[in-house]
Amino acid sequence: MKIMVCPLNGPRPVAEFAYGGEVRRSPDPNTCSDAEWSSYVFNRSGSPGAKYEWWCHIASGFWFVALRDTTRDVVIATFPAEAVRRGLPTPGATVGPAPAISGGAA
Amino acid sequence: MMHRLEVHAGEWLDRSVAVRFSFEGREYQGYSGDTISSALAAVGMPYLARSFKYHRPRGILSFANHDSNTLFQVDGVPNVRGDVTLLREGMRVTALNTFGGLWQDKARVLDRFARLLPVGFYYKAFHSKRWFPHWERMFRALTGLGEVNLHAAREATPKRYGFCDVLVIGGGPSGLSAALAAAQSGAQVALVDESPRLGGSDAPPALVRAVQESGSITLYLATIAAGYYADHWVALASPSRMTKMRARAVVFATGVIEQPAVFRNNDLPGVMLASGAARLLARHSVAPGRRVVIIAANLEAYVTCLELHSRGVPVAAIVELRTTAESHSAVTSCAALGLPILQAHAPYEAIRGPDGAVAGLRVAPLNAAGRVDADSSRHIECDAILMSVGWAAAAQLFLQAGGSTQFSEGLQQFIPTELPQGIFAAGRMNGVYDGESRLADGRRAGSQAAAHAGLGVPSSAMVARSARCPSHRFAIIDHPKAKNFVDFDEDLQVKDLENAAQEGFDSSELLKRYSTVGMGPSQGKHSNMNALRVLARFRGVGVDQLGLTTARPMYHPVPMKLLAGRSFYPERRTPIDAQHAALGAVWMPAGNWRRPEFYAVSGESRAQSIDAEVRAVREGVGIIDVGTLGKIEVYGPGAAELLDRVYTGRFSDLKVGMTRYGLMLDESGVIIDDGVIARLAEQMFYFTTTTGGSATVFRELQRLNALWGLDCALVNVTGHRAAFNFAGPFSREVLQELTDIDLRDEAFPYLAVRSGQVAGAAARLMRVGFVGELGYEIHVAAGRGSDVWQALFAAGAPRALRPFGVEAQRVLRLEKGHLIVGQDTDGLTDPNEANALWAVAMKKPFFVGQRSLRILQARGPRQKLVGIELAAATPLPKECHLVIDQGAIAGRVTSVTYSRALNKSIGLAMLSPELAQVGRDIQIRVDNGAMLAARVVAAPFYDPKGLRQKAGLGA
Amino acid sequence: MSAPALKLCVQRDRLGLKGPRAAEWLAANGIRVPSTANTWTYSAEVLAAAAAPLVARLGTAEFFLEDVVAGSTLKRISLSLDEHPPGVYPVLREDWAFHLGGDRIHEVLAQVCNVNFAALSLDSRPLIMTLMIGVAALVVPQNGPDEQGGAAGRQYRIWCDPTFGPYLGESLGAVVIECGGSYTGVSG
Repeated sequence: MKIMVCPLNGPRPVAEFAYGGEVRRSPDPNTCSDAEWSSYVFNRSGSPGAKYEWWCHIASGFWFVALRDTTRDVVIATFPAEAVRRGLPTPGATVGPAPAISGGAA
Repeated sequence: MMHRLEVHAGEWLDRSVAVRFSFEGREYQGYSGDTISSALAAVGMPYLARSFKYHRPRGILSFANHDSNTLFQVDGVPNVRGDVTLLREGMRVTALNTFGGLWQDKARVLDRFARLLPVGFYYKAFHSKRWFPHWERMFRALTGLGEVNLHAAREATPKRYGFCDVLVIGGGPSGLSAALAAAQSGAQVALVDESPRLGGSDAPPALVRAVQESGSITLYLATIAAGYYADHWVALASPSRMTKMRARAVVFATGVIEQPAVFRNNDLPGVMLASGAARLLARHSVAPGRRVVIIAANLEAYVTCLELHSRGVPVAAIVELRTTAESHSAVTSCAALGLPILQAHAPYEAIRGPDGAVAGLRVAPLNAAGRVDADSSRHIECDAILMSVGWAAAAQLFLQAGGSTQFSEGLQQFIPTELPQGIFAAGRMNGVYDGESRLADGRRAGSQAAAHAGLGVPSSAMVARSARCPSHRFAIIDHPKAKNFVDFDEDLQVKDLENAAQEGFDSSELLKRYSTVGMGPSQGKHSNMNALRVLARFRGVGVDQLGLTTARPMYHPVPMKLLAGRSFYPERRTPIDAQHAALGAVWMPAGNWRRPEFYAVSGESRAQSIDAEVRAVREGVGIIDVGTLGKIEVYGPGAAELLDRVYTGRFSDLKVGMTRYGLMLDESGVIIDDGVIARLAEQMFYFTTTTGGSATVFRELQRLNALWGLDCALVNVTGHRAAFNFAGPFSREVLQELTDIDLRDEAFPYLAVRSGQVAGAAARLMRVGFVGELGYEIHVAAGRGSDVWQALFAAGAPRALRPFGVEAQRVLRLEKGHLIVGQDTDGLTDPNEANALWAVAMKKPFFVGQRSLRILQARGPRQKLVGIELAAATPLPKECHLVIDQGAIAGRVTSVTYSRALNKSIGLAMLSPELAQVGRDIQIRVDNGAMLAARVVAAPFYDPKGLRQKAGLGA
Repeated sequence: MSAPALKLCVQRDRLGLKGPRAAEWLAANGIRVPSTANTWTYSAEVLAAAAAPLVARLGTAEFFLEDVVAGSTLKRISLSLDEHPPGVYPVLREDWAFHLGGDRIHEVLAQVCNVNFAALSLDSRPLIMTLMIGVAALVVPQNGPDEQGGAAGRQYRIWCDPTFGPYLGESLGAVVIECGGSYTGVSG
């Protein structure tokens, strides 16, 4: 079974994680067309490559984002969920190691 | 004929212990340490089994756990491998797949009709729909292996997770030295071998001892590394358990598997692999025959001859396929002993004796082009033919691990080329064949594997691959009358493969699927290589241009019990579970919970009990355990905002102390969950989800909360709180005795929430109306649940309180027309279709699914959920029965029950909008095709104004 | 040498806390909190090991506290939670708690969990959140003896959702018993 490195819990088999789908940006629901919205809701890109994905470590309820090369099935980097709000780097760009999880209170 | 020899040092037998067993109903005797096959061989059994397709007699081939032709039914257990299964006292052994027993198998006639069963027979014969059932019956009876004992007791076997730095697969010389080298680098090593004893066929005893004494090498013997999974996770199947071994690095020292020569009647009992004969001889002191012929194309043949000779087994001839053997002491020794060597000769045809086993071999000269001169063939009398013509790498697991191989013309073997991270290969499967170089290659791989795991310095040794060629390039001899078998599992002859290729299935993958070569129980261990050679010749290309097929894990058969393990099934039980059991609960599964469907009362039928439970709620007081509901708290300044975004309704304006129904949609506007949201304080909400949705809803809310970054926190208390719905006209009166909360309407109105004490426990009370009567949901800490339940029970006794189960609750809610998400809605139902727009605040700036709902509303509903009723005498349709209009499907029944309170059958149905008009008559088609008449009516059916739950009427 | 033993530990107060000011609030109430995610500590330095509540940090901003048998610390601080201090969110913890000790415990754990507990270093007082035979569990490895009266050597404290408690206890207990040990618990 594949090992996934959780930014909080370290390396664990993928059975400890739930997949939450690709990270996708919603169009503005108030300004987009019906067609744009429907495309966002129903269409997924199946093309292989580096993709941001939501993953949840089940036992701790910890959500994070993994950048995964779906061609090789290799996780390139992981990010805390807040990174989605702040903006994730372009998948093609060189990415460093995942930011450390600090021990300070949130 | 095979027979037992004198006692020999090193044999695996204890001759002081005789073991009695029966075979095909007759009694025999072997020794402790014998396997089924060795014991049968020792008593001179001419053959042991019948083949799968033509029912030809078959005997021992490899004696290495690959003898898929000699599977047995042993004491009711099917498909037991005779070559490795140890004999036990009193064992009852029978042959598989015979009609009238092994010796008189009526199906042996199939051998004569072989030409009527061409390759791809199934595809050619089974396409007619008319004839298919006939063929299916016939072939299901004819084919197949052992008989499954459907009454066998369930054996729970442990599965365990294992961990090591370096996993070495294969306990031969290279595997042993790899394990030792890795251990010396400081690695924790696991060493796996399918044999019960360490050392393979020829490891130095000192090396075996060093491994046994190492202290950091864990041995897994009689264990098969049966499958490789991502990130160095290897399934180790032992006789009694499965170990899921996680390694940091893996050394494949899996060795090679000897390959048969292909010639007419090469499947006769008595024709076997030389390595198999050597194992029988060394371990069980069984001689392959009294006059042995060996077919030779490598050095190993001569070494085997010397072993046979030293044990007094006469060698009648060495049929050497090559023009000259290599110059080696073993070859010169054989010549010096006067063993007749026929150079540049090939086996043309094995001759069957009267007992079904081999009685001779016809050999013929072989020219430089590989053609036999049949006219010059001659007969050699013999009762055993050993084949020593070549090997195939045991690379199945290596290929599963993502390794790639390339065919070496010089070695006539696929050898590893690219190694994935942490994967190492050593020994004969790596093309390193002889003596010290195998040990050196093992040391190199072991050291490099340890270094990959972060231990020690990797060896930089370069070990050369074998200079001699241990495998013949084409030990396949044509014969006009065929029966030259490539695959013994599936009885495939050379012409079958050629015909398959001729018909266009001429790649290795297609050939396999069409001809079934390599698809039998041995998974091509003895056939894939020769099949490739046949295909290569047919296409006029080199084997290197064809490529190996990758066997799927597990590549070796593994008993189901090992896969099933202990069969853990995580079941949730509410804190009231023991009380339910004591009350006679009949359980039903609800997600991973067990819930009382109803409470059985002696003297009452199921229907009567459910009816009485319903009546208790309508007329007195009832209690149901709703602890399975998802229960979530949300705290913080952003809590109301979060709820406004995830539910369709508005919660930011919900007053403290009040509750409101909530509907949750997904992004496409489909209803996914519902519940009741209570505001306990300005910045604190408590809400419920459906029983089935609690885990997934909570997880999704956590994700959305992380994404949105609102200043709030979610807490899942589903399992940490017990909850009951306490309902009925007398519920208030009874509950008031136990609580300090003022339950009067003016203090605690409908849909309010209050905190206080119930029976001495801190409780949250919500006045809800799901079942349509005055009622309270009581939520307490799980640890207090049982006490509070019992207190409520005692207090309710004067009012004849009855616990009610899920069935009664379904009736009660249906009388009120309440939908159940997932039963009355499906994966396409939006709030408009479910008549739930009243719970949707479209004017809110945002909620999940809002944008899609706008589109859906503009388009109008595709279906509508409505109430239906059937006359009292009408039989009850089932949920999911279809509504038919003008011969077409126009909807379906989603819920239906007989209502005693209303004296008619009521239900909910999802109908096309044209039919969804109150007063409309509809037709429901039931299982037997009959149509039932029903009518669309307004819901709720019972107490439509809700006066009972709101004003507490009824008491 | 001692046989593996699984014990259900019921009579202890437990408390969970979440929220941006939870750590601060605990400190103000005299409770020492671990500074790194997924570690634990005792709430105060005490002479007898484990005579003070155990404080675990689940992830970054959530805390789980378990008092000693008949302890009063959590009762005391829980009272002040009723005042709803801002940014401090109580988490009801009705967990089932198990204590696993004795020899062959790693054989037991290897059959129920894919975490390599035998290789764990306890120096940093790690806390493991993992799945144990399909159930989310909180695991704290400790070196005994502790106040449970367990033998010296490695032992484990395991917490799970109470509704999974009977299942986990019975399943784990069966493995412990097969490994020659005992299970002291309750049924149902």
